[in-house]
Amino acid sequence: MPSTHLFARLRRRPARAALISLATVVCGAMALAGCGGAATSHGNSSDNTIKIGVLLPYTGPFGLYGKPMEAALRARFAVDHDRAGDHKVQLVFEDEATDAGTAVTKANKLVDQDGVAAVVCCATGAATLAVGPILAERHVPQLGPIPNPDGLSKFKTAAVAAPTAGHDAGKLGTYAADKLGYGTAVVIASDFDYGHEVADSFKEQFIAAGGKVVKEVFPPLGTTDFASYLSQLPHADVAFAGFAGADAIHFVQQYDKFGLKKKMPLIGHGPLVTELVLNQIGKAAVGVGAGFYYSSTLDTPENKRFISTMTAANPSFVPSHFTAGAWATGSVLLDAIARAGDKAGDGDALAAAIRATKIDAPWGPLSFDPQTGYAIAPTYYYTVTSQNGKLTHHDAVQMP
Amino acid sequence: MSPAQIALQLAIGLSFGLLLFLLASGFTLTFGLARFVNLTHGSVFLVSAYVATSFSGRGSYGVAVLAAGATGLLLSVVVYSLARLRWSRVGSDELVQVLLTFGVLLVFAEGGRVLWEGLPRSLPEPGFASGSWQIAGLTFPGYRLFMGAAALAIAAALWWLQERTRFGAMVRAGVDDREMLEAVGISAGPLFLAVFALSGLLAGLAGGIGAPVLGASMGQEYTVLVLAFVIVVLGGPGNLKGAFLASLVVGLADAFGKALMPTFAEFTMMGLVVLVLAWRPQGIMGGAR
Repeated sequence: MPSTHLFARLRRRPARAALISLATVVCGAMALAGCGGAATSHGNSSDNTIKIGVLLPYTGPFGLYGKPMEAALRARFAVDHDRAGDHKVQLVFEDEATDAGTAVTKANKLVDQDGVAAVVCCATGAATLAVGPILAERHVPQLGPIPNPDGLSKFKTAAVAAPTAGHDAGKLGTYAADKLGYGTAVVIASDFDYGHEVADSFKEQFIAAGGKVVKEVFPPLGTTDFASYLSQLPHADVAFAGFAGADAIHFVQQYDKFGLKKKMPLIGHGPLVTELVLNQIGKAAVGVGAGFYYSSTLDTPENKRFISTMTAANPSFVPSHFTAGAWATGSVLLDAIARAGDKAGDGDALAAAIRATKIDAPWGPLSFDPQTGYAIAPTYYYTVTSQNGKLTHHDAVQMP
Repeated sequence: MSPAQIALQLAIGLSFGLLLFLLASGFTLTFGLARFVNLTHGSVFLVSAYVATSFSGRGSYGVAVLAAGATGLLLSVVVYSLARLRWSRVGSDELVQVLLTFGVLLVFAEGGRVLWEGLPRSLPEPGFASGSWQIAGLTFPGYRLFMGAAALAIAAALWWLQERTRFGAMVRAGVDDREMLEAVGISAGPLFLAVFALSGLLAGLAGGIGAPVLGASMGQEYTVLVLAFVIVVLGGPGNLKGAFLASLVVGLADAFGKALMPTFAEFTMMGLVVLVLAWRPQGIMGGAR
C-alpha cells in the first residue's frame, strides 16, 4: 500500500517541512497556471473555440441573480447548439460576489487564465464600472446584461444590452405629464446611484413636459420602515418612486397601508414592481404603474420563445428583466461572433461587431447607440392587476 | 407638523420601538449575564423571519410566529453549544466571542440565502389586523397597533419573569455579580443555557411579529444588529428596564428623524448615541439598578 505509506510519512514530517513543501506546491501551481493562461490567450486566434467570460453575483446581497441569469445565458446558447457561425462558443462563469474588488480580480482571471474573447459584466453597477477600465485597456469587449449606470460610454469596447435606468425613467416623466395628465409630482427614491439617476431623469423630463415636482425625498438604501417618510409627503397628482429589491416591497406595501394609494396614484421605474417582487408585495401593488423596457407579459415572439424555453427546463421559472437581459445578451454575442467571423478573437473587431448588432430581444428590437454603446430599445408603460389571485402586469403600451 | 401628524409619528415610533425591544432584550440579557457578545443575534432574527414568511399562503399567522420563535430558540441553543465546546477560551475573551459569533452569523445568513434563494420575502398580515384606522385625515395601519400591543405583552411577561420568579432573581444576581452567584451554589451553566434560549426565542418572535412590516431580506442581519447594539449601549448592558426605555427612545428618534430630516435619518440614531454617551457613559439606566 504505497499511498498509506506516503500518508504515514507525511504525517511524521515536522510542521515546518510540511509548510515548505506546501509552499513549493502552491508556487509551482501558480507558475503553471501563469504559463497555461499565456498559452491559451495566444492560441485563441488560431483555435476555433471562442470563450466568453461571464461575471455574475452568486453570493452577497445580489447573490440571488447569479444562478437564474446563468441558466438563461446557457439556455440561449443551447438553442444555437453552442455555435456561432464557424465558431464553437463556450461560456466561463465566475462569481463577482456583489463586490467591485472581487469583480476586478475575476475579470483579470478570465482574461489572463481563461483567455476569453469578451466578458459579460455585471449585474451590479459598482462592479460594472470597476471592471470597465480594465477590460477597455486590454481591448476586451465588455457587454452589460441589464441596465447599467451610464459610465461605460467612454469605453469604445463596452456595450450594454439594455437602455439606462435614467432613459426609461425620463420617458416615464414625459409620459406622466403628456399622456397620463399629471401636473404635479412627488419624487421618492433610494439614496444611492440608482435612485438618484431615475429620480433626476424623471424630474428633468417631467418638468420639460410642463409638470411640477413638489418635493423630493431620498430615504437610505435598505430602509425597511418608510412610515415616517410617507406620512410627511405633501399631496400631488402622482408619486414617482425609484426603489428596487426589498426596499421596493416595503415601500409599495406601506404606501398602500398608510392610505396614500387612495389619494395619490403611484408610478415608478420597472424594478419597483418587477415579477421578482410583485407577488411578495401582494395586493398593495394593484394599480401601480411602471415605465420599463421589459415585462414578462409583452406579446413578442422572442419573449414567448424565451419564457417557453426557460419554463421547459424549470417549471417554477419566474421571468424578469434580469433573465430576459441575460437571454438577449446571449443573442447579441452569438450574432456578433458569427458576423465577426475570423476576427472574433480580435477584441476591437468583436466590440465593433457587438455595437453593430441588430437582433430581436424578448422586449422587441434591440440595437446599440454607436456613440455610447447603450442599447436602443422600446420603453413600455404598464400597470399591475390581479388575475385569479396572481398579480401581473397588464396593458403594456409603448411610450413615445 | 400638525398635532395629528405628531400623534401619528408618535404611534409609528412607539410601535417600532416596542418591536425593537423584543429584538434587543435577548441581546442585552446574554451580554449582561453571560458577558457574551452574541453577534449571531442578527442572523437569528433574519432566519426566523424567513421561516415565518415561508408560512405565507399556507398555515395561519399564529403558526408562522410560533415557528419563528422556535427557530430563534433552536439557533441560539446551537450557538451556546458551539461556544460551550471551548468555554474556557470563549467564555472569558470578548474578542474570541466576536470572531466566533461573527463567523456563525455569516454561516446562518448564507444558509438562509441558500434556503430562500436570497429573495426578499414578506408575510401577509393576519385578517384580524389587516385594516387601517382613519383619524383626522391620517391613516394608521391596524397591524402596527397589534404589533406594538403584542410586543408590549411579551415585554410585560419578561418583566414578570425577571422580577417575580426565582429564575429572574438568579439572572439579576448573575448580571450584578456572577462569582457571588456561583459561590452561593447556583451553577452558571444551565442558567446560561436558559438565557441563550430565551434570547433566541425573543429574537425569533421579533422576526415573526415584525415580518408583516419588515419582511425578511438579506442584509437585515446587520441592520438589526446595529439597532440592538445602539439599544444596549443606550440602556446599559444587561439592564432590561434600560433596554425598554432605550428601545422607545430609538423608535421615536427614528420616526421623527425620518419625518423632520429625511436626508439625515441615519445620522439621528447615531447622533443620539453620541449624546447619551457624552452625558451618561454607563447608559441611560446604567448603574441605576
